[in-house]
Amino acid sequence: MNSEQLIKSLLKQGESEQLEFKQVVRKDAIGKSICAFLNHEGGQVLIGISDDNKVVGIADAEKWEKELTDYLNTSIIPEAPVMVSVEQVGKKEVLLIKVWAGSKQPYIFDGSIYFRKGQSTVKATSQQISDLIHNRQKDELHWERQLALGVELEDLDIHEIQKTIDRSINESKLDENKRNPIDFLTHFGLFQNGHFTNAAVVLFAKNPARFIPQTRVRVAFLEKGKTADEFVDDRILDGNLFKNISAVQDFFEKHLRTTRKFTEKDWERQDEYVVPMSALREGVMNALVHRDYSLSSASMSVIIYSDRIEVFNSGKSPLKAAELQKSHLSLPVNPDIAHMAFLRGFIEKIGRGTIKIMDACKAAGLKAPKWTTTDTSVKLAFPLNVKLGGAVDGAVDGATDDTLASKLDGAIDGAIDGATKSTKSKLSSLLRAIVDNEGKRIPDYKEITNLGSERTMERYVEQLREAGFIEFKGSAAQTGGYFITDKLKKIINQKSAD
Amino acid sequence: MPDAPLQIMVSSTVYGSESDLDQIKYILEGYDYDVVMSKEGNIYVGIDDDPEDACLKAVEDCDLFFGIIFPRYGSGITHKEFKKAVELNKPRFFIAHQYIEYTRKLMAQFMYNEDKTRNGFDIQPTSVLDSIKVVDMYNDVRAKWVQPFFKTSEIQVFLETQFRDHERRRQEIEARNNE
Repeated sequence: MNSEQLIKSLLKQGESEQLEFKQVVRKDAIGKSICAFLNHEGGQVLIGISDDNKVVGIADAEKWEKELTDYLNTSIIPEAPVMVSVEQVGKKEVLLIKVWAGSKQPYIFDGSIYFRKGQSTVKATSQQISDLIHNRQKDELHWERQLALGVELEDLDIHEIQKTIDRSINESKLDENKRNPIDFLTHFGLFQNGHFTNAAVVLFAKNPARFIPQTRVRVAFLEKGKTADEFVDDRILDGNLFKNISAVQDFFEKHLRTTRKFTEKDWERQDEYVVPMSALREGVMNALVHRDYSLSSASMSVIIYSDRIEVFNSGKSPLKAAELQKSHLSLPVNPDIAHMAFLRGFIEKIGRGTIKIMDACKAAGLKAPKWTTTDTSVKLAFPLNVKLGGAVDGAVDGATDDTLASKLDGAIDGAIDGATKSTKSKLSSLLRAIVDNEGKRIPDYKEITNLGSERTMERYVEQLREAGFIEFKGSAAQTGGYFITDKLKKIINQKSAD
Repeated sequence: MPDAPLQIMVSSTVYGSESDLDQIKYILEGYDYDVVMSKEGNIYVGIDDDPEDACLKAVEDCDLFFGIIFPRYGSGITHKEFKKAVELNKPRFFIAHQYIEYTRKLMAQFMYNEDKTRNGFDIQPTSVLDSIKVVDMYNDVRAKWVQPFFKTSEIQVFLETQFRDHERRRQEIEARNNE
């Protein structure tokens, strides 16, 4: 679902307990609505919509995005994750603001507690305040808010905490004056009465499994051997949540890469993998953030099979499998862990993680991923178009490499008429360099491929563009770069003829 | 003309998340009280006044006194406010973290002379408790009911139970003043 479809679907739903439209940015009115959503079931405010539900757009959307992020993430008490984004509808820009249901009710904005009543936001009555207080009691039973006994400050990875603080401040999600790690953890309830909570251990411990063994994550790569399936790479990750994310990423890098890369690793670069890295990342993040950690038997695993990748985690999803594929704003299972992941920039689209996964797979021409939920587990399976395995570890890269090269050759052959064999071969090399290094400009590709002068490169790039394999993205020549198109992605992801 | 709202003073050491104390203030305001927060004696002080006097004056002026005992002693101003509320026999309510009662029992063996008077014993400040004087503070108000709590949300439930019905509290106070 792209931005435009999303906004249209919201307009169709109309204003409700969880949705409000505004024509212009009025900070105090938005603050009240967000506060009311936090005190209720979460919700979204869409700005740039006229009274008769037409998209009129707003000016300076990007400026407002930053200003409102700063304002809403710091002026509501207690602080809550508020996501502000600019969405494009035709040529107009609108702002979308989202919050999950709050876990620390009652929330206060500008000295008052606000409440959502149908389509309007009102000051809470005594009775409503009382209801909020009793509701919160339930949230306090969260496993993550219980104290983890025996954990000292030196058991935590201060560097990881500092990174979270710096990132939050840089992204205007946190006041400058919360730089001290203990103050920061105290402020977010991760340090209470001299003790760290379970959430603090999951997020920041150097060795969380020492205190909470079920934080471990299993990652495995299964090869189809001659006689039976066997795990050729089977590991247990025992770092904190942030360390585990990068360890899972490294694991994917090792086993899912279809092409060689020249740049440092980066989650955003997706198209060189059999499954888009952004979809995998989202799936793994969802599992790490929303999994059930409370039972010592709880577990999580990421397993690469020859025909699919499975991300499994313990925990009952609050939603049915079908609902997971839509936007939802219900209270996260582990609100404190989710809040930190948000501050750290790992959750950018509140309520849209699963949609992002679907979109990324669709764009890459893959079959839709599938969620299977039970009372105690959630499993996300990515079907693979390319069969993995069949070769010993280490040779995988080479094998898939050749496949990609021959696909690119085939694509060039089919689309470029009247060129010599040598030119076609050069075009193929250049295309390969762009696949491997998206987002760069002509001088960069000249350097990488060494195929000729800048003018020659310009000619080649133009030919690839005309063939519909690449496109230039970005507002200015100096900041943009070349990317491969959906058309080429489909070709790359097609099953081999064999 | 409607009656002026009752004034409630919330006295506590600063502890944990500031926003917990902010929530307490706004919940009470939501129940229509006029709220004076004394976080570690943090109260408006006139130019020529002594800060301590200003805090104690606030105790005198309030209609209701609500004391929160966290496992943190701070500078001692909160303790003085508690004593003042007891001395003036203010309508008062106390809530104490569960660690306090535990510490009271555990430390009793070190804290008293043979004649049961308090000796000078204190602990080195730790991350879970800064001074044993927290127990003295607790003992000073323990003659009446002190509600134990563990989580901040339990303080909110206490507030809800005790202060939700503003009108009923007002009638009680009027009756008490007319005695």
